[in-house]
Order: sequence, then structure tokens, then C-alpha cells
Amino acid sequence: VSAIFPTVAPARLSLERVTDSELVERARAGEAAAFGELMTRHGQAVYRTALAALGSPADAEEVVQEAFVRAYARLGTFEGRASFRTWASAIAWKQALSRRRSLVRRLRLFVQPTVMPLVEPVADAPSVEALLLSADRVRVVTALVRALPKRLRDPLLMAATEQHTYEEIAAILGIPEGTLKWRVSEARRLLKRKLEKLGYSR
Amino acid sequence: LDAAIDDAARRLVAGDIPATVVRNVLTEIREPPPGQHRWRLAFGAASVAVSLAATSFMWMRSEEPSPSLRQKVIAPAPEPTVTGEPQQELVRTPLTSRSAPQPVRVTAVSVAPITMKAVEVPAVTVARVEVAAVVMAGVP
Repeated sequence: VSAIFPTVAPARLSLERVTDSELVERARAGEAAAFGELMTRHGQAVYRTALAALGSPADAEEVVQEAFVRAYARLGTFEGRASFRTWASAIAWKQALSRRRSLVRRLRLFVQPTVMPLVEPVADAPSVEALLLSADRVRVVTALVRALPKRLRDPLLMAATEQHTYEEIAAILGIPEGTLKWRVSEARRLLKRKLEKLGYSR
Repeated sequence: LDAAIDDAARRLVAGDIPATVVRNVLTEIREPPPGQHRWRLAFGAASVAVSLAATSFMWMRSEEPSPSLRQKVIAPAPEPTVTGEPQQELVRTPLTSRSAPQPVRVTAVSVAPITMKAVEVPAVTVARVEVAAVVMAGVP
């Protein structure tokens, strides 16, 4: 019988097919590979969350590393009320805020201040100039976004990560969803007004 | 302008977690850094308001004696200078051990007036020898 129906050991389920909650359980049991899979799935969201708070890829990488190590140590406290992605992002957000407040970072920013480019938009510009102007406009808008007050910039950038819903962002930032939406809208309104003052109408 | 704002915001948060970060995290959770053990002890000491030295000592007592420590206990201590009666030997089990009882040979001293050399041994060893001496005191 065994020759006709050979007993084949069931193939080990690939981690890719396992749900987040199962991965969390397996990681709690000490399976590091399960936690690695969670990082692979949600690393981008957590990284972009840290980047939204810090603006520097190097700082974001360090914060994400610390946040994941902390998340692993605190897996026992994960109750599953929010998704793992939101939970890990919230840890990264708190870590990033702590880093943002740190004196070292302030000093570094002081040594390397952001330079605001001064741009004079020209009407009916030739194509090469139009391209340069377009590049300038990107720089100007970027600088304006960076210069926004933190309470408006954070929600705008978190929304721009396209990794979380408004509900999740509100949970991560610890503010009501209505307030979050208002702040995103206010940030856009403020940016548009400043751009129009600089001569950018469209 | 809306598109320009969206584009600028997206550029500021573009990117993905580098593979090195994932590897570093996995390495760290598999093999905690050497300082972490000490950090945990220091944290524990601070949380119960006990000195780090005392916490380290209690931690060591609660742990399975390390091979080096066991070696120190089992290894024949420098011979005490005994006057009068010959030395006696006692076989006993270690006081603090989570493993199966393991006989440890301790060189004890007789109850006769003795003079011992001053020997520097770890605190744990001293405790064991002292207890052994007490046990010996009751031996006829």
C-alpha cells in the first residue's frame, strides 16, 4: 500500500500564506522567522511612518530598527485590537518623536540648516527654462512642506505615505479622525496660499 | 497645485525599509548584544532599589552554577594548616542548584583549634565552605 500511496510529509506552509495574527503567535513562541515575515510585510509602512516624523532616511532607519526590536520585546502586550501594522507604526512614531526632540538632532539641524530657494517664476518660459522652473517648483513646494508647523505637517506626510487609512493614522498620532482630516486640509490650504503668493497659480 | 503638493509630500516619505535593517533586527532578537544582560540586571536593580552588585550576586546565586564556578567549588582549595587532628572530608550537594543533586567534595576542617591561611575565594564559595564547616561541627 505504501508503494502505491506513498506517505508524503505535508509541505511546510510558507510563511507568506500565514495571517498576521498567526505570525504574531509564532513570533511570541520564539520563532524569529515569523517576526521577520512581519517585518517584510509591514516594514515599508513603519519606515515611512518614521520618515514622516524625521525627514531623514538615516534617522528613520535607526528608529525603525529600534522600534522593531522593541515591538518584538513587547509582543506579549499586543492585544490585537489594532492591526500589527498600526501597532508597530505607533511604536515607531513614538520613537521618532522622541528622537526628533533629542538635543543631538537639534544640534545637527542647527549645523546644517535647510536653505529655502528663492524662485522668480517666469511667464511663457522656453522649454528648458520651463523644466528648470518645474524642478524649482518641486524644491519650493518641498521646502514649504518642511516648513509647515508640525501639527499640520505630520498628518499631511502620514497621509502621503499611502500606507494607512485615516482611521489608522488618527490612532497612530493619537488624535481624533475629524481633527486629522481638518489638519490635512488646512495644511493643503496653507501651502496653496503660500505658493500663490510666490506666483505659482497652477 | 494640489498635484504638486501631493507629489512633494510623497517624495518626502518615499522609500522602503533597507534589507540590512531587517537583518540587523533579526540578528538582535536572535542574539541579544552582550551589554543587554548587564542592562537588564541594572534595570532590575533600579526597579527594586537594590544595588547592581547585590542584584548580580542574587542573580548568580539563582542561576545554575557556571562550569567555571563549579570548578572553583570542586577544585581543592589551598590546604588549610591544621594543627592537631587530621583533616576530614565531607560529601554534600550544592546549596543552590536547579539541576540534579551533584556531589561536591568539600575539604572541611576539624573541630580542633586550627589556624587557616587567609585565602581569597569568591563570595559564593565562602558561603559554601562556612556552611560545610557548620555541618562538620555536628559530626562526631
